[in-house]
Amino acid sequence: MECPRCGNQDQRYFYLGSKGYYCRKCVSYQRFLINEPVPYYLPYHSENDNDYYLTFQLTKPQEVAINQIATIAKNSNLVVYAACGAGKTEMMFPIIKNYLNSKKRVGFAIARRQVVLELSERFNKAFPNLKIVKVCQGYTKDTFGDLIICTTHQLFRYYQYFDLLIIDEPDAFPFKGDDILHNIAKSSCKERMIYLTATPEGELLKLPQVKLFQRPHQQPLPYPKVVVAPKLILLSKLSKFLRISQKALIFLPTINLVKFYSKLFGWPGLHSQSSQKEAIIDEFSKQKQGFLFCTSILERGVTFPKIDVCVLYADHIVFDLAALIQIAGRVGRDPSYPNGQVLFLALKKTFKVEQCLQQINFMNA
Amino acid sequence: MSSTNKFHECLICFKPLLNEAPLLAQFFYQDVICFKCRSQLTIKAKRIKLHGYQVTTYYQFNSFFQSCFYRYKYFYDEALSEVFLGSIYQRMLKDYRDYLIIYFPEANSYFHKAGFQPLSLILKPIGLPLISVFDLVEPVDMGNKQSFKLRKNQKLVYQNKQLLLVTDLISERGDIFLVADLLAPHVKVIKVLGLALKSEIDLSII
Repeated sequence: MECPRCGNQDQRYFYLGSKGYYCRKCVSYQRFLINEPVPYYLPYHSENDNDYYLTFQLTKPQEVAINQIATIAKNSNLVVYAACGAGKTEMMFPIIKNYLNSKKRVGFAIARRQVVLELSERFNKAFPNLKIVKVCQGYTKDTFGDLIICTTHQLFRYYQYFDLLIIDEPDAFPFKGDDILHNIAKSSCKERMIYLTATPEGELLKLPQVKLFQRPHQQPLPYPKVVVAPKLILLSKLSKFLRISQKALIFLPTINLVKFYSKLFGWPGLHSQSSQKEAIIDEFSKQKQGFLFCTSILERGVTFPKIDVCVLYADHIVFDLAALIQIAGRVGRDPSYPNGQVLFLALKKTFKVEQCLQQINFMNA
Repeated sequence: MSSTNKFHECLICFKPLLNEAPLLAQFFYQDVICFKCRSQLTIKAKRIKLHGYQVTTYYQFNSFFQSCFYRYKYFYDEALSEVFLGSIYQRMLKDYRDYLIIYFPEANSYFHKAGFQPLSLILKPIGLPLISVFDLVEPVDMGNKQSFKLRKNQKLVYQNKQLLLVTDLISERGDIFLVADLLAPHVKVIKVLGLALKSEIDLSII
């Protein structure tokens, strides 16, 4: 017996219930019967205009990458390996349009809820005539539309539904390392999967890659400054950083530390348990000056103009290679401020920090 | 139905049943979930008076209970039905031996989708007389007496009997009390039992 959704073959997880056998390994994504037929979905049909509109011109390297993506996607799944801020999302617009024009269904999934909310705004602006549906915690009433932007956790709703599924940042927690989520993602897609990442690893390294390390403004990725010192010195460095910088995100490894430091310095804090997360982010986006203490909740997918970042306790286990690269990638995205500061404050130098520096060097080469 | 417990693993977390069990417990521990999960599924029996009825609840409405019950009832993980009766089986048998148990059913649309009635499945192993005497009229308008229709042909079954009305969660304005009001004129005694008391009830005012 094999679960068609999560791929489980371990007999311990199968249970004979009132409606037949179901898999208990993936039951936390709602019961899925082993003999459950593929749901009948109405063929995708929309009178809406599938055209997208950009407020900027795609660069030559982006156009080359777009052509490569289209060519490879004809025959195989692929990975778009690109630097943070290289415009991965926008490079997906042409292939999304092509699929929609061919009356095929498209989904865009990412691990983090916060990123789903921000991405759906961007997609709404780019595809003003489509019904873009965001599906994540708190947004599950309307789950079908022309284009679905969802968390990877919500893909269980779309068994064998998508013709094209784009998984953004598969290296992000909680998608990373979760075999059930990976298999649910695979079973939600019938035809083609495209992964977008700045740090491909594992299975993804076996797929054909389209690489793009240049940001649209052609400036290199900001290179992190690393300070390794005892706690008190790190605190004085942080104070200095807060005096010099105009606007910055300060990343901390735990919720308790966010609460402590945001109180200590008198700036807002953001973590997974914060109420009114969207309001805090909105407020911070609008400010020209200010600081936001946060956990890795903001490590990826969010874009704030003219920003610096500091990672306090960059040696903490929470900040793995992908997280550090993503955090550094928040900086310098705005063409008018391409050289922001990235500061890693650590109690000890770690292999991950070293790797991060090497990786950024490699992308800038 | 088959039980996954033949593998001696916890029905909730799939770890060995003696997971985090103290040495002494390892000799006599018999359960369908592991020691760690059982200790998080806290029993906190309460007996209160609500809307004129004696109400008993067993489990503490903590996040662990919520997630287990949610997985059972809304994700249809039927295997978990064995979990909830575990610690309260003996108490129920002792306290309600002479009672007719009436469980609060789910609507037909739920039953068609899930294939089971959650409370009935939980209570079945107890072996006491267990029935449902009313139907939910869809679309169910909770808090409205019109949503509950007593089955006329079952009146003889419960007339002049001692009834135990069982629901999953007790809340201050629970519909179980509307049903109790409907049945009250026809029976000797009605008591209400919930698996857990929803935390919104301020016990100091009861």
